[in-house]
Amino acid sequence: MSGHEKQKFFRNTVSCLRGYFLQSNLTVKDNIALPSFFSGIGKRERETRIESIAKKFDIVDILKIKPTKISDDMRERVCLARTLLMNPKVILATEPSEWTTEVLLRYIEAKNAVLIISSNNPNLRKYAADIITINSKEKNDNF
Amino acid sequence: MIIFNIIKLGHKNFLMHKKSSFCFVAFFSILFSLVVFISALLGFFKDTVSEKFEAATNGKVMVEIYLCQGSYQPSMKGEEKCEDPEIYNKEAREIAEKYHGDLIGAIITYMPKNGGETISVVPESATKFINAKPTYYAPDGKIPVITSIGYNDKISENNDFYIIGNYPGDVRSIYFGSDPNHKGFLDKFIYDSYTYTSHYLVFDATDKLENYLAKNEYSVYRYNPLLIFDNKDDAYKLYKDRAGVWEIFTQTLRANDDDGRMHLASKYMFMACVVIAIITIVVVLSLAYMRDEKIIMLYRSLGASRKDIAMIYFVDTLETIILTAVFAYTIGSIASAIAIAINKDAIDVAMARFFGN
Repeated sequence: MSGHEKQKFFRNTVSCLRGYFLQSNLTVKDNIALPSFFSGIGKRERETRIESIAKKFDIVDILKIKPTKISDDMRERVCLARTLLMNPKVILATEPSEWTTEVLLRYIEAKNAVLIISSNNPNLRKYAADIITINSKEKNDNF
Repeated sequence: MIIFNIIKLGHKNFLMHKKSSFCFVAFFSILFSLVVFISALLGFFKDTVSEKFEAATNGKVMVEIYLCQGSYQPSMKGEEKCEDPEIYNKEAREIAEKYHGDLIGAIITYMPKNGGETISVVPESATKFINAKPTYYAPDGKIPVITSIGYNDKISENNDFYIIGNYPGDVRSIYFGSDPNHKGFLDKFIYDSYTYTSHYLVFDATDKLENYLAKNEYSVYRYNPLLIFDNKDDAYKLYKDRAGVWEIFTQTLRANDDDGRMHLASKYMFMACVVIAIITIVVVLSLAYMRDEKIIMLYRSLGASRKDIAMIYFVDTLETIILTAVFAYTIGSIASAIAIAINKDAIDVAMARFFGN
């Protein structure tokens, strides 16, 4: 992959991290907008996207609040809104909750995207097209 | 568009860490201020050198006069008197007569044809009035040259010259008329760094010097007559009448070693400021990286490139540095003002002794 292709690939790839990692110094709106800051879309388009995704996740009322002042449930929604804002082609999710998994699955089905989940939950196997099992014990034995 | 967003993020980052940023700012401001204060105190010690200068003088004062704007410059089409050294000397003689002094020659400054560093040649008749003994250090058959360090490389290539470069204490001038253009930001910041200036002196009247100047296509750039006075008061009267455009030499500006040390110390103060600035940048960046490792990873996971991350922390660091500079300059100015207030008495005493009231 050339440098440009690599950059393009990473621009289309977003992580949905366990723990949400919302920045406490930014408002909910700025947190959601973070991926768009690095992708170079215009302000007007960004505003439209944020408005639309905020409505979708029912977080319009908290856009101007700092993430420290919202509940865990709301944080999860904000994190998802941030993940899906730029309509990524590839999503990396670590230990997503059941609800997050559901939303992400619906998204990849609609947008024909790829979801890579790292999880300990065996129930997710039924959705997977490909499974890579990492057995830490085995790995340790090999060393 | 990306750049504005990145700058915004960098600024938000700076605000997020404002508490720790302000700690840095305060800490490094105090360090800067200490440097400025020490520099100002060194200014105080320099003024005590002025007293020695007064105590050692035997009454002869040499004055380099500037008769017109920019002095005599053959290449310049200015006033008529500026174009002819003879007219220039005539006016110098008139001034000498009026103020009871003697014309003893002129400092001629040469400039290479294509511009660049100039060489100032002092007439031999004037060198005995300057407390310089370069001949002690020059090997036989060499032309002694006193020059700033900046000249060394250039002139050293010519074997006809012997450089006495690190000899700043030997020839001194004092600027009584201050040139406002001479005072840059750093000159104000490093107190008194411009007051004492070493002069470049080349022994005249040798074929080798003329050959060197001809070979390297030097031409006359400035022509400044020198007057010698037996009486300090006469010299000071001339100074007051034509304030601010000329310099005074004296043969007895002693305590050269002390003065030279102070001059060098002043330069080290500047170096200290540069080193502190570099340390500030390195510390701020390293701590920002350690502190924000998770945030950096988050940005990367959201599509930020390495350049974007670097830009965010560049903005963060730049804001910290600007704030440090503003704080340091403010606190440093106060420190300098205190030190100058301490010095004022010493300066007044030295000037009063030298020129009378």
